[in-house]
Amino acid sequence: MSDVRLTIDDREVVVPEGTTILEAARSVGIEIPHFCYHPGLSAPSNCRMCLVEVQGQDKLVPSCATAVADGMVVRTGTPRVHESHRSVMEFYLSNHPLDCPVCDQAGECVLQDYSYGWGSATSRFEETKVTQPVKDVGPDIVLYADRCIMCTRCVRFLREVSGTGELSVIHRGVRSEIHVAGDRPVTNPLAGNIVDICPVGALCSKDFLFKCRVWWLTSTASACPRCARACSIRVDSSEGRILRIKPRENAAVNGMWICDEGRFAFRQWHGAGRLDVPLVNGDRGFTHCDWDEAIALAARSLRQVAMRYGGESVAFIGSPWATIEENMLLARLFVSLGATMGSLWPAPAESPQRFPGFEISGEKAWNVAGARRTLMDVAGQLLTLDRLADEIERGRVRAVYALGGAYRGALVPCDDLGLELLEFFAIQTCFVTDKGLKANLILPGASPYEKVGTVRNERGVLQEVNAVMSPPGQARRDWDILMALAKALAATVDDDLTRAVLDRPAAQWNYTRSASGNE
Amino acid sequence: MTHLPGPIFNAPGRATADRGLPTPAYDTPRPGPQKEKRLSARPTFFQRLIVPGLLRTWWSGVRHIWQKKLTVQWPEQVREVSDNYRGVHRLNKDDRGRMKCVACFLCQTACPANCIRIEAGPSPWPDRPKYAVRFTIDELRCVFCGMCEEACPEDAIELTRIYSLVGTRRDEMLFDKEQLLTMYDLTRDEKHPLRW
Amino acid sequence: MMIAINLVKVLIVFAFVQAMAGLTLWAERRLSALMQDRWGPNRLGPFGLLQPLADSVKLLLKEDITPQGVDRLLYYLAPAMSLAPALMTVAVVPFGEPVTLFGQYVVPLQVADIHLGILFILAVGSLEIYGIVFGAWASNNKYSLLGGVRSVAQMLSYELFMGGSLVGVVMLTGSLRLNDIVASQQHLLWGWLPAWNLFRQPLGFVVFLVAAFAETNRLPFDLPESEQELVGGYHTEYSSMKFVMFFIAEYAAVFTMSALLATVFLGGYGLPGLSVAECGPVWWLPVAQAAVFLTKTLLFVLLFITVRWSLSRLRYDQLMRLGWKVMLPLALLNIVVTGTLMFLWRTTG
Ligand code: SF4
Ligand code: SF4
Ligand code: SF4
Ligand code: FES
Repeated sequence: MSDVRLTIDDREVVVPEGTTILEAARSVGIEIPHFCYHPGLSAPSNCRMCLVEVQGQDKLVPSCATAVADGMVVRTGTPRVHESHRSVMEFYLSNHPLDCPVCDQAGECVLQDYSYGWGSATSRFEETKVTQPVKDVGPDIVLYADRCIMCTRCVRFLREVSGTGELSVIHRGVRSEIHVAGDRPVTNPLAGNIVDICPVGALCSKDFLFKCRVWWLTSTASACPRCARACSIRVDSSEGRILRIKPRENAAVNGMWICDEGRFAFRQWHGAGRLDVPLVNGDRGFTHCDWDEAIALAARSLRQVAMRYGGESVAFIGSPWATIEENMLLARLFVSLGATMGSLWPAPAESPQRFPGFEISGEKAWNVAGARRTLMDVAGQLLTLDRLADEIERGRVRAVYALGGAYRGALVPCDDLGLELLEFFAIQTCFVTDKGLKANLILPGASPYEKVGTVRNERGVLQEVNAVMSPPGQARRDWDILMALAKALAATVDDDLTRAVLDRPAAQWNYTRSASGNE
Repeated sequence: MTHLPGPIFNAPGRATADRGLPTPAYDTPRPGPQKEKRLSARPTFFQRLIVPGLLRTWWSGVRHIWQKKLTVQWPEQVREVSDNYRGVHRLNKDDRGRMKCVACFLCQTACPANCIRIEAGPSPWPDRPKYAVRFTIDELRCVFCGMCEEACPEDAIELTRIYSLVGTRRDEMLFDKEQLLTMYDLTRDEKHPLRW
Repeated sequence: MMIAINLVKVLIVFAFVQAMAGLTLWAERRLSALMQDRWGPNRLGPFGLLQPLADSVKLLLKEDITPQGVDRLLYYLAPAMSLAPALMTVAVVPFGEPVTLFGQYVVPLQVADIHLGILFILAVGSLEIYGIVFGAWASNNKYSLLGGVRSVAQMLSYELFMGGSLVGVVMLTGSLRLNDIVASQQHLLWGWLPAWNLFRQPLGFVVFLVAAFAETNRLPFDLPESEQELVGGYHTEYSSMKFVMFFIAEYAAVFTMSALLATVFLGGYGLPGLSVAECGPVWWLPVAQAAVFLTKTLLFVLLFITVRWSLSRLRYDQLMRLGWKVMLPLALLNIVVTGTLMFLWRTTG
C-alpha cells in the first residue's frame, strides 16, 4: 500500500492508503470528537459527532468512515464544525437524563466531556423525555437504557469480537433501544469489555456499581495473573482495595480486551481466606509463629540437611505465579547451597478459548514461560514433578523449599510427591486452604497484585508488574521472604546474588521479543 | 537614635488609613489639639523617676476591673450568631420524608477537611437508582466552610445555625445519617435568613 | 495547758495561712480575669470560691513524674524547703494583743513572741531560696538551672537593702520585737495622723515594698520563673503534689509578706482607739483586731496581684541596676536621714 499525503489543520500528514481521516488525525495527536468509532471495531458512522470539513466538499463528512485521499485538506476546528458539534450534542442531551450525580460513569464520561465543550447550559427541548427501563443484561452487567446514546459499540463488540451477538437494537428513532433477549443474557467470557467501551454510563458493571467515584481511583499498570497470556491491565484501587480491573491497550499481548476471568480475578485475593501469618507445623498441628522464628527454622533445617546428606539433597520448586526475579533468586540461593535438583509447579491446564477477535490461553498462570526459562538458566536442568518424586522416594532429596502462591482452588499438585518422606518441606503461599499441605512451614506470601517484578507471557513478551497494595497482615512479598532466608543462611548468597538479579533487569536477559505495552 | 524618615514613623494609623481600612481603635487620635510627641533617647527627669510611670501602668490595668466584660456566660447567656452562621450539618428530607441525598459523593469530593464519608447502595425507591446507605460527618474534623452545601446538586446537605456542638468522646462526634436527618427535624421550621 | 494552747495556735495559724494561700490563688485568678475583661472562674461555689479546691483535687490526681537523671534527694526535698520558710515567717507576726483565757492564762495572739522578730524574719526569709535553688539544680534541666541561678543573684542583691530598709523602723522603735514595733505605731501624730511607719518611713516603705516583690519572686521580679524564656524556671520539671507545694509556697509567701508589710508599716492589728488600754478587756476586741490585721494584709495581697497583671518583667541587667544602684543607696540614705532627724528631734526636744 502506498502512502497518502494530506493536510489536517494546516499540518502535513503522511499515512498509508485506506486510513480514515479520524485515524490519520489521531496519529498526529489531533483528537476529533467521536462516540461510535472504536479502534477495535468496525465503524458504522451513526453518531455524527466526528463530522469535519474537507476542502472542496459542500457537506461535512464523517471522519471515522472517510478514507484519506492524496492532497486532501481537512479542517477540524472551523466554526461550521463547532456548530455541527453543538447541534449534535443538543440532540443527544435533549433526551439524556440529568443523571450525572448518580451515574457511575461521571468523571470518565465522554458525553460529559463533550458537554463541557459543545453542550448548552439551557435546554430548548419542550417535550417529555423518553424514559427507558433499567435492564439486567447479564450476571455482571446492568443497562441503564435511559443513558444510552445508541452508538452500538456494544452490539458490534458482541458480533465482531466475541462472536456471540447477544445484544441488538430494536425500534427506530428516539425510541430505539438496546435489546437483550430474555433467554439469552450476555454471559460470554468477554462480556465485561462492553462496559469498558460504552462511552456513557449506560452499561455498568454490577461488581463496581456505586462502589466508588472514579476520580478517587488510583490506577496501577500491571499484567493479568490469570493465564499465560498475561494481558496488560490497569488495576484501579482505592484505600488499598482493588475495585476494578480494565484492559490496557497492548498490541503485542492482548490488543484492547481482557476476559472476565481476569477482570474479576482480584476478588479471589481479597478478604477471608488469605494467609496472613507464618504457620509452623508442630506437635499440635499448625500454629502461628513470628517471622524471625520462621526464617530461622527454615535456615536451620535446610543447613542441617545440607550438612548431613550433602547439598544435592536439598531441592527447590519454582512457581509460575511468582515473578522472574523471585524464581531467579530462589534458584540462585539454592544452587549456591549445593542444590542441583529443581522443579516447577505446572500451571493448571484448561483448553484454550478462541473468539473471532480474542483468545484465552489454556495455561492458567501468568509466568509459565518466564519461570521455566529462568530456572533452566540458573540450575541447568529442570526435573519434572514425577522425577522429583522419584528422587524423594530414593532418598536422594531430603528437603524441599517451594514457591507456591497458587490461585485459590488450584492448589499446588503435591499429592504424589511423597512429601511425608522429607525431613523438611517449606512453601510460600497465599491461602489458608494450603494448611492441608504436609509442610513443616507455611510462609504467607503476596498475591500477584502485591508484587513488583517482571513476567514473561507465552509469546515471550516481558511485562513489568507493579504492586497495587501491600500484602495483608504479616504476609510479605515473596522476594522479601527469600531475601530474609538468604540472609539467615548467610550463604555465599550475599550481595553477589541480589546484584546478579537486580542489576540486570529482566528486560536485558535476552528473553525479550518485544517491549511491554503502552496505555 | 537616628531620625527615621517616612510617614509611618511619625503618624500612627496612617498605614491602615491609606489603604482605606477602618482605623483600629487604638490608633484613633484623641480628640483635641494634637501635639506631636517625639521619641527621644534621653528620658526626661519625670520619666526617670519611674514611680509615676509605674503607677500609671498599674492603674491602666486596675481600671479594667470594673469595665465591661467580653466573656459570654454560656449557657445562661446565648451568643447571637450571624445570619450567615454555619453550624452543625443537616441532611434534608423531601416532602415525603425521605432523605434527599442521592449519594453522588460531590460533597465528599468538595470537602477540604476530608470529613464526610458516604457509602452508596441501590436505593429502595423507584425514582432514583442510588442513595446513601451510610453517611457520616466527622464534626471534629469539619471546618464549617460550607463547601459541601455549595457542591450538593440536590440541596440535600445544609449547615444549620446550631453552634452548641459538644460531646465527651470522639466517636460521639461522628454524626451518622440518622443524627443528621434528626438535625433536619430539629431545624425544619427555622429560617436561615441569608441562605434558606 | 500552755503547751496545748500553743499547739492549737500553731495549727490554727498554719491552717489559716494555707487557706489564705488558696484564697489568694482564687483572688489572683479572678482579678487577673477582671483586669483582662473576662470573668475568671465563677462557677464552682459562690463566686467560684471553691475553684482552688477543685484545682488541688485535679493536681492531686495528676501523675507524679520524676524525670530521668534528677538528684532524687534534693528533688524531693526542694518543694518542702520552699514551703516551710513561708509558713515559718508568719509565726512571729502578731495578729492581736495578748488575751487572757480562763482567767489565768495570758496568751499572746502570735505563735512565737521572740525578741529578734525582724532578724528572724530576714533569716528565715532568705532560706526560701534554698527550695528554689535545690529544685532548679536537682531537676537536671537547663532552664530550671538558669532560673535557680537568677534566683540566687536576685536574692543576694535584694536581701541586702531589704534589711537596710528595716533599719530605720528599728531605730525608731528601739526594738526588734514585732510586738514592740506594732505598739510603737498606735498613737496619733499631730492629733490626726496614725503614727504608722508608712508615714514616718515613706522611703523605707517604698524600698521594702520593692524588696518584698523581689523576695516573693512576683512580677515584675519573677525572673526565676519567667514562663516565656524559662518555661517556668525552677519548677519546670515538677508535677502533681510537688508542683502544688511550690505553688502554695508562692502564695503563702505573698500572704506572709503582706502580713509583714501590714505589721511593720501599717500598724499591724492596731487602729487608733482600738486597744485594751482604751476599750478594756472586752471579748470582741481580739476579733476586731484580727479583722483589722487581716484587712490590712489583704490590701497588700491585692496590690501584689494587681501589680502582677499590669507591670512587665524587668530585664536582668535592669534588675541588677535597680537593686545595686538605686535601692541600696536609697536604703542607706533612709538610715542617714532617719538618724539625722532623730538626732535633731532629741537635741531640740
Ligand atoms: S452517561 Fe455521562 S452524561 Fe449521562 S448521566 Fe452518566 S455521566 Fe452523566
Ligand atoms: S462544611 Fe466544609 S469541612 Fe465541613 S463537611 Fe462541609 S465541606 Fe467538609
Ligand atoms: S452532594 Fe448532596 S446528594 Fe451528593 S452525596 Fe452529598 S449530600 Fe448527597
Ligand atoms: S464516530 Fe464518526 S459517526 Fe460516530
